[in-house]
Parts: sequence; structure tokens; C-alpha cells
Amino acid sequence: MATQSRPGALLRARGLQSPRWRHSLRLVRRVLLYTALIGGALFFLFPLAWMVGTSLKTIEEVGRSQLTLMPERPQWQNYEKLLNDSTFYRAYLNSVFIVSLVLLGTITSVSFVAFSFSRLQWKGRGVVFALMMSTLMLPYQATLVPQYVMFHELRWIRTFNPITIPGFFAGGAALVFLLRQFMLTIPKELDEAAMIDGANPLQIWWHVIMPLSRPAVATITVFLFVGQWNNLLMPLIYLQKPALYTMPIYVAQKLNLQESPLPWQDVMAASVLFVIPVLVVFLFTQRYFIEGISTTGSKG
Amino acid sequence: MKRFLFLLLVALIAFPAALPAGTSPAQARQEQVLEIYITGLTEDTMNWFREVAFPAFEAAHPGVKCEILTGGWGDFDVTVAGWITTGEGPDIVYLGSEYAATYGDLLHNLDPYFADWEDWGQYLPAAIDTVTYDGHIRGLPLLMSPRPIFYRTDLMKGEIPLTFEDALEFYRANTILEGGAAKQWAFMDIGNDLFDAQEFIAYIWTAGGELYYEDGTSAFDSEPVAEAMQYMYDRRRIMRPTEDTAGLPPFEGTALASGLVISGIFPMWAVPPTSDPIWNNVEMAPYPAGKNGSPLIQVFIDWLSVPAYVENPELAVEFLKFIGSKDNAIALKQVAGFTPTRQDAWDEIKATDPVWAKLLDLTVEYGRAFADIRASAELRPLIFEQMTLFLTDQQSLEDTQAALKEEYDIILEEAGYLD
Amino acid sequence: MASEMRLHNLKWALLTVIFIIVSSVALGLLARLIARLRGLSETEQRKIFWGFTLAGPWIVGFFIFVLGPALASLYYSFTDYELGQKMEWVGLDNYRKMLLVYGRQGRQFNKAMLNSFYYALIGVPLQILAALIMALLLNHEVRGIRFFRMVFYMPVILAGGPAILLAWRYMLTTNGGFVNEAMRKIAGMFFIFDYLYRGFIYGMEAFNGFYAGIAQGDPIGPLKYTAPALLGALILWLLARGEWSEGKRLLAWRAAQIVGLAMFFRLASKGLMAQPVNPAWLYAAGIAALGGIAWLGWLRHPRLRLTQGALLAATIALGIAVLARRDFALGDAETQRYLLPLALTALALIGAWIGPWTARTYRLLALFGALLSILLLVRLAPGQLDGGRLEVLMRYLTFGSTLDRTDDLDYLNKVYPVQTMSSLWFYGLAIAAWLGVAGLGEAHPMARRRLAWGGAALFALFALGSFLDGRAYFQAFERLAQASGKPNYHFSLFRQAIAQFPSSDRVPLWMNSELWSKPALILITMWSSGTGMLIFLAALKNVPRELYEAAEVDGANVWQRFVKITLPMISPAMFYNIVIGMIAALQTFETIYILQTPLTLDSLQSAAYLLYARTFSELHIGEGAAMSWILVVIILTLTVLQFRFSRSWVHYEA
Repeated sequence: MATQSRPGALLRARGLQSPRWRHSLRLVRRVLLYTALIGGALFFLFPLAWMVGTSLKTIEEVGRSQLTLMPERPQWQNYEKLLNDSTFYRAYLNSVFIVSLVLLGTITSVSFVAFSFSRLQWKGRGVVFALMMSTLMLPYQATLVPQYVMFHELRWIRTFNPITIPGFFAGGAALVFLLRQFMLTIPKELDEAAMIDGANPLQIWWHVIMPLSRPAVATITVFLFVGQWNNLLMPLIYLQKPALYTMPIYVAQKLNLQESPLPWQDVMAASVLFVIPVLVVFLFTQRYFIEGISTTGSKG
Repeated sequence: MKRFLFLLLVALIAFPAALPAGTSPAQARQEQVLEIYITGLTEDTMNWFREVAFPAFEAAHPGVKCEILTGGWGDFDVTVAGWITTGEGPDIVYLGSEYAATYGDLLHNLDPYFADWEDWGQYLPAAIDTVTYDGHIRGLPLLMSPRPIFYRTDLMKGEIPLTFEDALEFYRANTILEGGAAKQWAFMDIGNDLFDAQEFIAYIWTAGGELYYEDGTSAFDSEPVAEAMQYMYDRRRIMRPTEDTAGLPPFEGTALASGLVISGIFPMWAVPPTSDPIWNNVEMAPYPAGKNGSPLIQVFIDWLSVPAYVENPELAVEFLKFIGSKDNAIALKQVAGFTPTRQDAWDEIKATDPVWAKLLDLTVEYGRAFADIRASAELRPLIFEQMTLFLTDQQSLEDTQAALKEEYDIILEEAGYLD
Repeated sequence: MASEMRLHNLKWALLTVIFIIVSSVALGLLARLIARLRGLSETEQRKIFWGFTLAGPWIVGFFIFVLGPALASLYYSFTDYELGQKMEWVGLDNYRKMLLVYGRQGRQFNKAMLNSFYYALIGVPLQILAALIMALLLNHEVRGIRFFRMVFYMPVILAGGPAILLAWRYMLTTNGGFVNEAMRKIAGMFFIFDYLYRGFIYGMEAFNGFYAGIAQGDPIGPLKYTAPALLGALILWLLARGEWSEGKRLLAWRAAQIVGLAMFFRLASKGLMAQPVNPAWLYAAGIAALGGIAWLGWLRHPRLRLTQGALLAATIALGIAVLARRDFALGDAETQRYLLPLALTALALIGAWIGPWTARTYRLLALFGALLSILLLVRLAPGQLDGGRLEVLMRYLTFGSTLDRTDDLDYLNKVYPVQTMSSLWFYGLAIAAWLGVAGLGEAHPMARRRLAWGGAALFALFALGSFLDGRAYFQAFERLAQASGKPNYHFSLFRQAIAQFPSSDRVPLWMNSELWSKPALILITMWSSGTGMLIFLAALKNVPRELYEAAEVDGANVWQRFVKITLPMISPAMFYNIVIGMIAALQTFETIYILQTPLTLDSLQSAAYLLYARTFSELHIGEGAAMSWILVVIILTLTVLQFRFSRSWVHYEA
């Protein structure tokens, strides 16, 4: 231990801590840091770029060289083909519809529940909250099959209901927990003051707490949006009908085409159109999102 | 801002909800929708259904709207088993060759509906057998896909082999390996992995064996099975001496035309169109056989069934009769590359297309339908598991045979085939 | 069609909202009524009403979507339910298939669990390393850092969907795919890169080949002792060196707890599932029950009587369950073997429950406990504790070999794995040594040091001895195969992989080989490890700057600051990431769905994927439900560990 701390002492002894030395040291460090950051960014962005590049190739180019990222002449007709495909439209609309409905239902109900768990003092809250947290540990597999049987009894298979309706019941204890953690940080005095003014809990929820919880609501919205937009398993199990297919199924089914070689340029074009909404939402909300996790993540 | 977002969300829900998808809701309510599930066909074939067949059928049956559902063989069991066991699903389900025994009574008995259909006499007896369970017709054989082995006569060294022994010699002579990767393969199977469960069953047959003994138990412990397994193993080791040998480099177009593959088993839709000049250099032949067996060509018959949950099968049967007509059978052959199962459609094909003529003759001579595979949904993963272990040197032949036999017997018993 | 469906769905959504409002308010009113009956004040009642009403959506949903289905699936797991068929009660049969590795289902489940274990063992550390490096890079406040944070995180939101996974699948094409082509180009630039790349291929194939052998169930011979011996030596060494601290005591405890728990699960899953149950398990259960009560009584715990009652009921239930499986006849000697421990335990429990709780009861309990312990040892001894098995310990200490015959394939393959001592004894020994060191602690520094160093040396010796012996074991197979001219099936993929250093045009086979399918999946999870990165980032932000400044003044360099300050301060985040990563490894679904090929599915699939395939493709709902409950137990255990440990970790750092 003792010997290892020598370099610092040596530097000091030789007067190498002069401002100029320090300056150039910092410069070298900065260059190294940026090199690493840019290298990392390339690694993380590459599959996306590859997807876009491939989607603009011809089938011959797809078969030929695998090292060129962008084709010489971009084949926009790959996209045109998709946009002329009515099943593509249908899948897109279905996805938009499902995700919007789930967002509306889930965010509203989750905010009620989180409000109750954080801002209201009631007997039994601890027990119910503990119960909710314990469901976090229960993996979804435990309930997957009986739920299927239940929806089957309800005659809900081959409808959107099994995917959208559960959200209305504050689906996802993790979301409630995230929002509750945030709501706990809002000063108590605010709702006490409102209470003295004669407001009931619903009014406090709407006028005091929700406006202040915007960053956390934005965070869970993005979580939910991304999760739902990407969701493959549930639609796969429940929709079973092409008129109802969502985008993830549409994209994944491209792999099932009995064609050899597989038209990767078409698969990738559909993939590009599939990820665009996720990317756009992410770009616009990532500030809330990343900060949101940094603030609540350390407690979770 | 918040109010705006909220309104946007509401608009997003309301918009697609109200947006008509092709037809107005009022119109849609009067229509009867006929849903047809199709598995694993090409994009062109789907388009033929959507753009040619459906409009014609809809024109003949006013108020009916046809919808196509598609899936791949990968999802097939999940999807179809779900429908058939829960009793909710499309009106017509496309089934693979081996499924009559799997679903049996869960499919409508169509005897009464086909009783007065004179076209029935035109269908190949083997195709009718495939769709028959418990003595009753369960569907309509839509198309068949004989899968011969294709040989590139311009590239190959040696004669077309008809025995296991000759075949191995042929593969040895025609495979080129360089470093750790293949440059040319003497043979390519349908899955490109040098192993396929259906092909394995074909070699059991050509080795003179069967899947079941007289009493219905599994015959995986028999001598022909061992011969077939050893053949597949030796073949794999010729083209992939070790498990870390890489496969062929990427190629444009079909494998047969790539020049990298000397022979292979392909369905007709995965080879160049028969008008292509390459067919001057392509020969077709049945699968090589073992010591006590004879060569054959495996024939897959895909058929359309009407599940028992469909309350009014009349309309579905109407569609089956429509799609099974001679004209449609020929049209499907053009677009999908499948052989029709009715023989009156053959004459025209034979007259115009020498390649198909040859194929059909071979099929009549050597064809064996891929049918009567019991509990196939569970057999397939079992074969994959055990054969993978054997082919990759992780398990001996004797142990593999014993495991296959033991476990398939359990499956057969659980599924009620051994009573 | 679709638009009609959407309207249908909207209608149902509206009905649902009405249902939720009505049922939530009803729930609130009910809670209020109960509150009034219990005589709570008016304000309390109001609060309860609002609380329950607003939490209502979740509570109602909990009953409909969680509790009901969970109970149903628990019930299914004891039946042979197949969709569309009559279900029959089969008891523990489904669980037995999975845990005792019966038949194809058992083998597949075992393989899936081993795959998940691989992801946890190799994938999770790599993922955490990637996340940590990313977080450290991003923890600088420089220009443009927001952009980089965004880019580094972005894969997370993409990786959940099929699109980017398809792109990966395409990029990972074996022959001519982008990844392989690019790597080959880079390797070709400079000969050292080439050797590194081939070395990488060699290492990966050797390791994965070895793992494939284990997954396939090939015996590993004496190597089975190497892992526990190494683990024991490593932790004892950590405990021995330097000053004693509270952290070390915790380390010893935690290690003992984790390994002990794993041992318990393994023993319990094998022992309690066996048919018939070994009576030793009943003795052990009795000892545990008595020990628990004695301990609680000693603490004068307020819930003592409740626990006593519960234990009594549990013992009786266990007894009935075990006896019900057999033809019950009092005169039968077999039955008596089961009755004895049950009767003893029940007698002691009833006595303790009825009688006054005095010092005498303790003594009586202790007496019974001791009696049961002796009976337990007697029961176990003939199988496990004979001289032949124990000799393993002696042989390695004297640099001997435990292989009696190396010229007999049957002996190597079948006899050796059964006749030798179980490796669990080594784990047990290690646990005893750790606990011994922790117990001696500060009070007996001399004895502690001797035990720690001595133990570490001893275990190191075991590790070395068993490794050399294991090598001899592997070589014996090779010799036998060469002598007989037959192929060698023992760890064949591993042997193929190590036989030759890859030539310079060899490429990783990714999805075309089980040697590479798991690394491909790990590569993708590393690419999308942004969630872990954010958690690390949050933790890094919480490290007080003053600590670094103080360290800098002391002349600590970057590495020292990282090891001494950063790592301990972010260890809760680390532990959280590890546990979350392990749980995710068990539940991977989308990635496997998109990447799998028929040949690699077995080597790739997680328990969750197998569960999906088994229930929805083969429709064996009963077995699927049993699998899901095994998963639930594992995940619950991991989560509880996470909660308990993170608390103690934070304590000792603060």
C-alpha cells in the first residue's frame, strides 16, 4: 500500500505539478476520454445504422458484400413497397391504438394508486403496499397460463382486450413504485395547506400533486410506451388474427417468409419504420428519462 | 403542455378507432368473413390469393369477405394448437402433411359435404389418404410438394448415387473445404444445417424401416434406423469434418443456381423457374437407399382443413371446392411452384413443362407421402434433441437409438396411440 | 374488421373504467364500514375511505389478474392439465420430472437452467463490467456528455423489440455476416490481432465445448471437487490476509449463507422429490422445527406460540403427505422408519405447545433434537460416510489419485461418479471453515488466523490435487478411445475444440453452432446494458466529492481511488445489478425467439422460453405451471437475498 502512493509524492517532489504540466495532462486525458466515448457511441449506434443501410440495398447487394454500410444507390422503393402494403398500415394503426389506450388507462390508474400510497395516510396502507411490492417478485410466468384460460372463458381471445384492459388496473407495480417514490419527495406542507382550504383528495391529486410530478410521469410514460410498443409475447399469444396484428408481430413474421435467400432489405425496412416512434419518443423525453432514473434509481 | 399531450393522446386513440380499414363499419357488419390460415407460402402466393382467388370467390358469393392469415412453420404448433384446443380461430386451417393423425376428430368430418362432388375422383389416392383420419375425409389436399434430390450434372464428378454407400463416395468427391470453411458442398439439405427431422424419417424409409412396429410402439431401435443415422452422420462428417467448420459463403439467388452446391433437396419454389436455362444441367433423382430398402422421393401434401369448432362449415367447404378446382390448381402451380394433387391438372403441365413432366413421373414412381406421423408436435423436438447430440459427437449411436425409442414410446402412450 | 375491433375494445375499456370506479368506491365504502365497526374516529374513517378507493384499481386488479391466476396455476402444477382435456391430480409428478431430470422435459428444463446459469455466470459479470465502464466514462461533466449518455442508453429501448434483434441476427450471419467479416478484416491488419482473434476463438470454443459436455451430463470426475475447493480456498484467503474487520465477518457469513442456501435447494429438490422419500429428511425437518422453537423460546419471541402451532401443523401435514404416498401398515418395518421421526418430533412439539415454557422444556427439546440428530446420522451414514468415500480427502492430501482403474470405460463413466464422495461435502466443509473463522473473530485472533491460513492451504491443496486427478481422468477416456478405435463421446465438443489451434480463416459460428449461440446472446445483452449503466451513474453521483479530494491530498492514484472509494460506495448498486441481471437471465424471451434456429434452440433457451414452448406449443399446462413455480421460488429467493444483503452492505459502508 505504502509504496503504491509513491508516484504522487514523487510528482510533488520533482515539481511536476506545475500548471503547464497539469494542463497538458488534462488535455491528454480529455482526448482519451473523447476517443473512448466516440468509440462507444459508434458501437451502440452501429446496428441501427446497419439496419438503415441494409434497408436501402437491393437484394443482390444484400447477398454480396457485407462490409459496405450504405449502398451506392439507395433503393427507396423498399419503403414504397411497405407503404403500399395495407397489412403494414393495419399493423401500424393497431399498434398506435393499443399503445395509446394502454398509456391512457395505465398512467391514470397508476397515478391514483401512487397518490394513495404516498400522500394519503390510512390504516392498512403499509400492508397493502407491502402486498403490492411482493407482486414485483412474482414473475409474469406464474400467471400467464391461467390468465389465458380466463380470457378464453371471457371470449376475449382474438380481441384487443387481453392486452389493453389489464393496464386499467394500475398494471405494473414497478410503475406505481417509481411514481410513489417521486411523490414522496414533494413537501408535505403543500397538500396540508390545500386540505385546510377544504380540498378533497381528488382535487389535491389534480391541482397539487400531478402538476409537480411531471418528470416522474414522463418517465413512466416512456417506460410504458417502449415496453408496449416492443411487446411481442402478449400479442403473439392473444391476437391470433392478422387483422389485429401489431407491428412487433408484423416485423417478427418477416423471418417466417419461406423465401431463399431471405429478403433482408425488406425485413430491415419494416424494422426501421418500426423503431422510428420509439426513437422519436426517446429523443424527446430522454432528459426526463435518464434524470428520472438517476433520481429514483439510487433509492430503488 | 399537459393538456395538449392529453388531447393528443385522446386523438390518437379516437383516430385509429374510427378510421375505416378498407370498408366502412356499416358495410362490414353485413359481410360474412371467411378466415383462412395459410402457413409458410411465399409472398407471391399470398398475393395470388388476395388479388386473384379471393375476388373471384367473393364475386361468386356476395356478402362474403375472405381474409388471409399467415404464419410460419416455426409458430405453427403454437398457433394452430391454440385455436383447435380452445375452439376459437379461423374457418379454414392450412395443415402440413403429417397432421391428420395429430388433430383427428378436432377437425370436421367432411364426408357429407364432399359426397356429391364429382371432382373428388381426380385426386391422387395418396393425397386422399393423407387427409383421411378414422375413415373420414378431414380436408382438401391443396398442393403437393415432391422433394427430389437435384443434381448439377455440369459440376458434379461421378454418377448420381442411389445407395448410401455410393452417396457417401459422391459427397466425398464433390465437397471442397478450405481452411475452416466450406467452399463447395456436395449436398445441401432444406434447413442448411445438414440435418432435418423430416429427411431423417425419409432415410429410415429408404433403409427399409418404419417408424412403428405392428403393435404401434416406436421402431427407433430397429436396424434400418441405425443405418439411416450412420448415413446422416457420415455425410455430415464429410462436409463438416469438425463441428467448428463454417458453412458456405453467402450467395445470390437460389442455392441450386449458386454453383456452390452440387446436389440438394429443395422444394420447387426454392429453385429457379423451370424456364431457366440452368435446367439443362439439372437432373432429379430419388433419395439413396440402404442395404434392404429402395430409393424414394418424399412428398409433402399440404391441405386445408375445417376445424370442428367452425359452426357452419358449408361456406368453408364451398371455398375448398372453389380453390380445388382444376383451373385454380394449375394457377397455384404457376405462382407457388407446387404440384396440384388432382391428376387432371397434370396433363396440361406435362405438355408445357418438361421439368415438371419429369418430376411428376418420378413422383408417381418413387413418391411416398409424409403422413401418419403420430404426436408430431412432440416427436420433432425429440428428434432434434437426440439427433443433434448424435450428429455432433456427443452421444453414441446406441444411446441415441435407445433414448429415441424410450421417449417416443412414452409420448405415444401419453397421447393415447398405444391403447 | 380491425376498426370494428377497436370500437369493440373501446367499449370494453369504457365498461372497465365504470367497473373499476364502482368496485373501487365499493371497496372504499366496505373499508369504511369495517373501520366504523372497529370504532375508529370519523377522520380515520374518511382517510380509510379515500385511501382504499384511490388504491382500488390496483387492489381489484390484484385479485383478478394476480392472485386468482397465481392460485390457479399453483393448482394446475399438481395436475396433468392439457388444454381441451380432462385434468387429473398427479401430485408432485410434474415437479419430480423437472427437479430429478426425468425424461426429455426434465433434460430440457435442466439444460435451460444450465443455460440461465451460464448467462448468470458469464453474461452478467460481463454486462456489469460493460455498464460500469460506460458509467465511469459518462461520469465526466464535459461538453456533449448529454449526447453520449443518450446514445449509450439508447440500445435498451431498442433491444426489447424484434426489429433490432433481427438486425443483429443478420449481422451475426456466420459466413459473410458483418461481424465476422469486420473482425476478419481487423485481424488481418496486423499479425498480433490475428493471433489474438484466433486465441479468442480457441478459448471460446474450448470453454463452450466444456460447458456443453456438462449440460449434456457427461461425468467430470474428480474435477467436481475443484470448484468447491477453489471457492473455499479463495474466501479463506480473503479472510486470512490483512486486518480483521466487520466487513470480513459479513463476507464469511454471506458466503456461508449463499452456498448453504444453494446446497439446501439442491438437497431438498433431490431428497424431497425422491420416491419414496428418504426418512432422513423427516429427521432433518424435525430437527429444524425443534431447533427453530428452541431458538425462538431462547429469544423469548412474542410470536412463539403462533410459530409453534404452525410448525406442529406443518410437521403433521408433512407426515401425512409422506405416509399417504405409501401403503400404510403399522406392522410394516418400512412404515416404522417413517413413523419414528414423525412421532418423536410431534411428541416434542405437542409437549412444547401445551406445557409451560420453562428451562426444563428447553432441555427436553434439546434432548429430543440430539436424539433425532443421532438417528439422522445413522440413517445417512451407510450411504455417504463410509471409509471409501472419505478417503478422497486423504488421497489428495498425500498427492494420490482417487481413480482406482483407468482402463475400464464402464468404471470411468458409471461407477466412479456414483461411488465417490459427493462434492456437496466439500461445500459443507468450506462453510464450516468460514463460519469457524467468523465465529472466532476478534475474540481469538491467533486461532482465527491459524484456521484461516491453514484452511486456505488445505483447500488449495484439494483444488490442485483434484485438478491433476481430473486431468488424468480426462486423459484416461482418450487413451481408452484410441485403444478401442471407437469415437470418444466424453466431452467430445471440448476435445474437438482443443485439438487444434484455429487456422487463420476460421470464424465464430454464432447461431449455427451450440458452441457460439450463448456468446451471441451475451454480446447482445452487453450491447444493451444501459439500465445497469444508469444505476451505476446514479450511484456514482452520490459518492461525496470530498472523499476523492481527501484521497488526492493523500496521494492516492486513480486506480487506488477507484478501488478504495468508488467500488465500496457503489457496491449496493453493483449487487442490485447482479441480482436484476440474474433474474433477467432466467426470463429472457424476445432475444431467443428471434435468434433461435432449430439446432441451437436447446443450447440457447432460457427457462422462461421453455415454459412458453411447453405450454403454448405442446399445451402441457400442468408441466408449464410447475416450471413457472420453480422459477418463482428461485426468483423470490434471489430478490429476498438482494433486499437483505443490500441493507447490510449499506450499513457497513455508512
